[in-house]
Amino acid sequence: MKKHSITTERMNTYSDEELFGILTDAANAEAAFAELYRRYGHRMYAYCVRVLGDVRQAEDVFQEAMLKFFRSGQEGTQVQNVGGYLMQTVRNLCLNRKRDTKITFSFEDYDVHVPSSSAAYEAGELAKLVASALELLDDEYREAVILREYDGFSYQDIAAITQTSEVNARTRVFRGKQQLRAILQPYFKDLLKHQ
Amino acid sequence: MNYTERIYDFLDGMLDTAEEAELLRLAADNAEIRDELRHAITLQTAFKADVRALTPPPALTQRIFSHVSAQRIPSAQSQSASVHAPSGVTTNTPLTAFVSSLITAIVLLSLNNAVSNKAINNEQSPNTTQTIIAAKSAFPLAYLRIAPANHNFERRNLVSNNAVKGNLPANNEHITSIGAALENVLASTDSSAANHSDAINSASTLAFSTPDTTISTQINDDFRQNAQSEYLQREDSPQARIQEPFEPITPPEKPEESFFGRIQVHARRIVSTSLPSMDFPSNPASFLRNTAIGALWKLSDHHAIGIELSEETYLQRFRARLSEGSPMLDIVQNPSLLWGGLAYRYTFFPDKAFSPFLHSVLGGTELGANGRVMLGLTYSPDERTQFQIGVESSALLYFHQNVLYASPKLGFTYGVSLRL
Repeated sequence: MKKHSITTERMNTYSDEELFGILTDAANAEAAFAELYRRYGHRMYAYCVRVLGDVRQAEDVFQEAMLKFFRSGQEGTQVQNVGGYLMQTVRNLCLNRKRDTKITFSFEDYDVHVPSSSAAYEAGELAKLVASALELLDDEYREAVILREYDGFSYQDIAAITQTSEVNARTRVFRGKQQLRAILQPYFKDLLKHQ
Repeated sequence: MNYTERIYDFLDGMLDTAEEAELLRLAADNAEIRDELRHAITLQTAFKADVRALTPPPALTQRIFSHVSAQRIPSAQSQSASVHAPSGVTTNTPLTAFVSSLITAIVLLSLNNAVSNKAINNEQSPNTTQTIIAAKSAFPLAYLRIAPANHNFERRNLVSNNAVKGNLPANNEHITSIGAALENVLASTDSSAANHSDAINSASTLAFSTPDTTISTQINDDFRQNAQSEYLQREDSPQARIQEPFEPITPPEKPEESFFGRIQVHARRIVSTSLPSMDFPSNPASFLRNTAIGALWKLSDHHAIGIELSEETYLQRFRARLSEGSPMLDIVQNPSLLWGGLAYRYTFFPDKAFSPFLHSVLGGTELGANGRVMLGLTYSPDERTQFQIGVESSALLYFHQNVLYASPKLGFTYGVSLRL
């Protein structure tokens, strides 16, 4: 029996779990994947870049994760929390990549903050500064902050993803932010003194 | 919870109205808390800006979707060749489908900018949606390029039907309005309680009751522009500094875990029995009897080394002559012995709340060498505290009249560790 294509308008109204289920329907799999990609691609990509600290590696891992996710959907894998499942897939691949690759850190690789003459301390520049500071955090703190602030996960979800307790997840986010604040203190002081 | 934690909760929208009002009142009275708030808001703003900047490159998206197209299961290939045209007519010929999609995609791409500008602040046109349906079948990338224009609209839908587990979209709006509210409070120069109360009330009304982010965003933009222009006029602003000889900013240094931060002290109770078991009196012992104390220094997440000290009885059974020529006697004694040694611990899952561990100690007593191995489970309710329980096996090795003897013990242990 021929299956009918589902309109994009309807795709928008489907929950993540319904969309993931549609991946088994070949006629609509691509559209369902496109919708899931639109919902989560941005956040997962941001996670890869900030956790791995290397854009090329992040692109590789992101692509591998999204395709793995698509294949899982096509194979009819049962998933309760699609966002969490995708995050776990991305995270595992990132951890594998980090384990397999000795990443050498050099400040020259990063666009460390240098105020430009045209628009000093704009939000974009501050963002770059924060991104560089993130690199200096311990892995567990950095990941917790990224999951919270970049991916918008609740403490409960962070605990599930990182396989720790909710209290620990909360503590890691808090300490990560505290360390970031300590690292950025001189810049904040300079920036905020005149606001 | 200290006020720093409360500030983060405030920005996350996790405080109730009374707690929020209390925090704002504190901020109005205390410059340190105000600074803390401003730092936290700046940090949040930077996070948001960084997230916005990190978008998968179009080439990467295209690559992924070309793989996805290639990976569709074979039975689907013939079905997926059918493409929905805007009118709803289905075309089955690949060539027709391609031409139809190409034309639609060109129309779509020409509409892209117009739609982006029009829909950026909310509503989408039904016609546009139809166009997207037609184009995406053959051109997923084009579909994805359109999609962000409807982002705001759809994000609200996602939040309302709990499709997104996190609360990032809600936070974005919340933080924006909180920022505006906060600045209103901080801007109140009259520090009398009545005026503070008015300022807080109006700020709360603005921040917590009004979903209209246009207003608060505008306030924030004005504030930022004013602050920025004021900043740029300063003598030591980057604008001014750029005229001076260039001085690169020194990269911040990574904060290292302190020496003492790696130390974990512990105390544990040992409940064990000698093998074979025998109820035999012992000499008086110190307070350390069956209580081990120690300290471990974390080498890495998994490995730690340290020292441990305790006192235990070891049942000794050996044969000896009291003097030359005297008969051989079977001697049994149960001395309480102080022992100490070097400890090593391997934690299997250091990041998890519950983790198995292996603990061993090699040391000695006044009578001979002493060693022990413990296999147990730790529970870490927070970063500093750790409870542990496990089974332990130990042995005392000693020589008497040139014969080597061993006194084994088996039992369990439980205790607590604290990280400095």
